[in-house]
Amino acid sequence: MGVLKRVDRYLAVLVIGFKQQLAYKKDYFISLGFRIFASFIMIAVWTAVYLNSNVTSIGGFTLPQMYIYFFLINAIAIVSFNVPISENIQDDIQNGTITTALVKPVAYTSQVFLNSLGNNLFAGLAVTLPFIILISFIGHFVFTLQAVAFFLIEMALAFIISTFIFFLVGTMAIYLTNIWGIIAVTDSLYMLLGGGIVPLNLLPSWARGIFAVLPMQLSLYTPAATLLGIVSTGQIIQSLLVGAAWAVPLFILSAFVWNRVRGKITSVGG
Amino acid sequence: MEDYAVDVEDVGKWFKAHEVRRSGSIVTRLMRKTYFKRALNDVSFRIRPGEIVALLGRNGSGKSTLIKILSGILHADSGRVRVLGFEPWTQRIELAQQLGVVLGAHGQLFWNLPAVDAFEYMRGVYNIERNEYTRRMRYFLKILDLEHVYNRQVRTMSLGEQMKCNFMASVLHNPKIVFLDEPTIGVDLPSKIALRKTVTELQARYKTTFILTTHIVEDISIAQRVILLSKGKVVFDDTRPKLEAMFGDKRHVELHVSEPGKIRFSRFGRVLERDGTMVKLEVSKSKLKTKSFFALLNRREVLDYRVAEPGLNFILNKFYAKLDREKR
Amino acid sequence: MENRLIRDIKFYLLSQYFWWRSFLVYRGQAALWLIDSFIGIVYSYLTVAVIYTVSAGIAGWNYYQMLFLVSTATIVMNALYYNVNIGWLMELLRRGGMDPYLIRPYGRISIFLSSQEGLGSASAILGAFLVLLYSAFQIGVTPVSLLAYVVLLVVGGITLVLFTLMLIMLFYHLLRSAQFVNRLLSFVQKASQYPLIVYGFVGQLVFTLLIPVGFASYYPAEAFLSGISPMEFFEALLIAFSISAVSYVAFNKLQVYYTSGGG
Repeated sequence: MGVLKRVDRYLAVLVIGFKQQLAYKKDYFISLGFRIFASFIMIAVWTAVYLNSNVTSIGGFTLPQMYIYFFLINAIAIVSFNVPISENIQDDIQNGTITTALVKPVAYTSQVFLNSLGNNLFAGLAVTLPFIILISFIGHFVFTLQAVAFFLIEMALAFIISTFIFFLVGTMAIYLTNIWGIIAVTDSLYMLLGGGIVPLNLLPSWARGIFAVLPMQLSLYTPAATLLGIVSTGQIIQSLLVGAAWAVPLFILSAFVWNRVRGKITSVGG
Repeated sequence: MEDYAVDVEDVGKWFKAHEVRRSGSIVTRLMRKTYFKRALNDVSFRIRPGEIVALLGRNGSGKSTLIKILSGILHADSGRVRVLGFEPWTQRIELAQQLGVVLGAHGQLFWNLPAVDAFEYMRGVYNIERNEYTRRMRYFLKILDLEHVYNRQVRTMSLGEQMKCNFMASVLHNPKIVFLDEPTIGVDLPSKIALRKTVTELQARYKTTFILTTHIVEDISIAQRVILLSKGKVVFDDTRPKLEAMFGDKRHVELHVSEPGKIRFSRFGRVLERDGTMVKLEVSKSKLKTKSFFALLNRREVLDYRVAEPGLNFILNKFYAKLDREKR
Repeated sequence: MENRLIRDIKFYLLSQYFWWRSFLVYRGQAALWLIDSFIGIVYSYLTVAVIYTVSAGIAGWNYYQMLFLVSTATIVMNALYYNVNIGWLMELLRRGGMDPYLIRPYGRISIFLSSQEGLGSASAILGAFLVLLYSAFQIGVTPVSLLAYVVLLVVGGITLVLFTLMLIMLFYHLLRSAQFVNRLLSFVQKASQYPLIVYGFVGQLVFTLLIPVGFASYYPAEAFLSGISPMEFFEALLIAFSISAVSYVAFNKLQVYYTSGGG
């Protein structure tokens, strides 16, 4: 099979993912709207916290910085948590559409990956990028080229890791039928461990230690902190290494689980 | 003044439907075209207590919609509806106590629980007195042949068993009127027969009124009256024998012929079917008695033959064809 | 015939009994759902704990007061989810799954509330209740504060349920999609964990009059924690009743748009 043909097919899945965002415009803007509202909640809460404590900075963060942090986090979350991979896999399994997906010339795992990538690229370009630019204007700060480069690498690595994790969660639907609860918990944990509630640098050192060895921070905190310039290159490299260290076993685990799951699907007959 | 079980006058119902475009620019594809579909169009009829009525029609003819309006599930856009004297939409709760509706195979059953739990539930829902409940349960278990089934989990039952249990659950409270919506779809033959038998018995014993919607022709054998719906309009409302007698001047003759090519069958009637050595003809009754037809039957190439009245399916198809022609 | 309300409540309780039996048939799954739901509430508490670790707290509320509020909000939202499973109801409405239920001799509201499983939320309610007791114990209870709390909580809870049912019918009619309602309630759930004053005057209005979650969580909690004047108490009840009445009427009026799988 010609290499070009192969690339063509995979590219097609990517493009479809990209286009899907256009098709589901209404859904998209609704979730976007709610994400923005959700960031207002945290901002309101933290404003109250600062006023209450009567301090100008907590853990090195001033209130304006806090605002910028949360807007950044949500702009990034639009890309990081764009596609409900686990839910889609659960739907595929429950509706039986997974069997048709399995016979497509593109491997199901690749479909999930590329589809998600396509969706995220669109979200990133259409929403996150303008959003971040807007924030930088309003917040009066600039990104260094180095920060942007690191940002992109972090997002790429975070994408890979989170796709594996959500993929694994989604495949549980084969054993447990209904995994809404698990999905909800995973989403919440990701938000929490990723720095979506509290900037991770504000946590006491023992907590920071735990969060530092988990991969979730790469999805939210690390990219935001990189752009804000509040982390050193050394810390960035460290996060990336932690991420890579997670990516490898996650990949192996995903491949292993997928083999078992695929066997189970085809043996049951869909 | 006679009290009708069901009194329907000029009932109409529209549905809003959306058409999704599959071509054109992204913008036009995102916009949907809304159009209105007329599900029921000035439907009128009256049913007396104790009648068994078959509501026939092709898919999309409005049968289910009509039943749902009669049950108080859907709201009629126009017209007047009375069931047992109640207006179903505004008096849904009062009607419900005396109404039984069998929808689908497991509407009233709990998927994970044995059927008997659903019956217990129904007992509470309809406030059926304990002794009465036991009596009726025993009766239905026997007549529907569910004695070895009702303690099993619903999800393990066959479709026929589920349907019978669902039926039982829906009529346990001895309703005066029962609607059955496509009760025998996908159901095995013994279960179908059991259901039909139960309906007939209930009508005989309790004068329960039944309306069953179906597009399966064998179901209507238990009905005395047939109402035929086509595209939301009543096109036939009369006794079943009258329907069967339509196009009743024809007979179907099935011939088994050793050399089918040798005979010109069109001389005798319309050729309906050809399959190898089998030829099915539609012959008018008068033609049957002619010498030429007699001669045909006696030809040595004709090995066997059978004469029958056209089946109800055939009659219905002809009826629909006639309607379609009239439309143009 | 008995009082209709009593009949409806009996029907609701009967249905609960059978749905729980159905739910517990598969013990493993049921346990998983319950544990899942239980863990879900930890997230809210963790958030508050973290905030209180790094700062002096929110809007003058101390840690136990916040725990009390979070618990109240959690109980109310989960009680809502327990009774009104939004996605499932929308599914039922869309494919005509409500039909077998609508032919039963009970009011539409109780039929809607009795038409589903999704009983996992019960453990979240229990868990939050335990934390509620703990924090209440730390704060101190008086009969008056308790009474005000319970009354406002129940009335507010009912208001929220009726409001949500109305929203579901509205969005069924307009969009046939539960997505907006789900996201809205998820958003409201997050917001209701914190004292409404942090959202400013506009925010308070939104969460009181626009989406009546304030009556179900914030005002009962405030009544318990810092007391409430009789005037304010009756004001709150009045507004809550009004919203309930409007929701109830709207819900019933919207029923004509049910198309049961056709159209």
